[in-house]
Amino acid sequence: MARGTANRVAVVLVGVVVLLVAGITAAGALWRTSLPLDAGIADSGSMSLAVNGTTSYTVPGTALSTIALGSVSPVELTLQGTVAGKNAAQTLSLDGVTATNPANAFASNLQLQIYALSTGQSCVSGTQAGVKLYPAGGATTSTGLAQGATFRARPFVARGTTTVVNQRLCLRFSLPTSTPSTAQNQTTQLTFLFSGNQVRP
Amino acid sequence: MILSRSERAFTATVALICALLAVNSLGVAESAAALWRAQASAVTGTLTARGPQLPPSGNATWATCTNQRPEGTLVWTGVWTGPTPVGYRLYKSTEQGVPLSTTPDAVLDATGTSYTFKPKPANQSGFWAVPAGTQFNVIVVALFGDPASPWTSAPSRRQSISANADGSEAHCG
Repeated sequence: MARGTANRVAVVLVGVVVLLVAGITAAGALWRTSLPLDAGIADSGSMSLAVNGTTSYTVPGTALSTIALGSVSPVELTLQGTVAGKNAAQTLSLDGVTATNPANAFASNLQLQIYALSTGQSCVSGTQAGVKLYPAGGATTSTGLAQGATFRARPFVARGTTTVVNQRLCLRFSLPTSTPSTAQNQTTQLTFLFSGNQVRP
Repeated sequence: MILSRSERAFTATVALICALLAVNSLGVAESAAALWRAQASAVTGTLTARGPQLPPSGNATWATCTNQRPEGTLVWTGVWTGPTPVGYRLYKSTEQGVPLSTTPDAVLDATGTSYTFKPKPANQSGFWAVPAGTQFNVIVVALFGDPASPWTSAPSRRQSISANADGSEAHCG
């Protein structure tokens, strides 16, 4: 081994040993003084998200059971979000929609619009008021497939909010007249997965 | 450049330290980026695809029914909120497999909300008849979409039809 290289290795190792010894020495200091301090409070905060008051909501059959060719079937949901803790805020997003029998003609042609409703706005089968979340962009009449529907995170619960925040959503299902007649009497069931995400202030 | 064993050892030591520092930095970064997430789901009940439902105001009426040979004219009218029908079918209410009459045996009006069935004597093929001395109920369904493979609406309410014993008159309602 070259002497110069050996020296460098030795220096590195000595440095590591010195750091370790320093840590041990600090832990074993003989002279010590201490003062009582008030305990700090560590608040981890919390957040919650619910659909119509529960984390797994089933739309009653009376509200939505049949989708008729060429007409719009609306159903309204209310998302409820809370946050607790300093600087906590929450956004809301739709992560996805999955369908049972995804390949059948009904499920693969079923279309969807999602609107965010404000106070005084209703979920209707006719001309819909509100902010269209899905499909993003385009005309108010545009629709997208229900399967795989998403919308990106949007402001939901503002920082410092101490009460439950409600966001009503209008889901508008439709079947285009181009849907093949093989879809008639077929069935599907859709699951919407919403997420509330903490965001940095 | 060829490194000696000691130089390789030195290089490896420095690389190891750098790697440990990098891993530690990544851990810190990952920890700082961790976010809270709450999830909730909504599940629809079982959805079923249907043809348009007949409107509550829809009705089947006999436009001309009296003093006819068994050749009444059944006119169906309805107001559709969905697509325009491409045709109608007339069924015995107890025999929905084979229609008594269907497109194009009668005329769909310009708006698609009215369709006329014209019963004819049984010996005229393609039209339906009310056999002498019989009485039965009929229903109407509307057709939508592709005429070659149409969707069917829910049925109308039943309409009674009959013909007297000698077949000289048809009655309805």
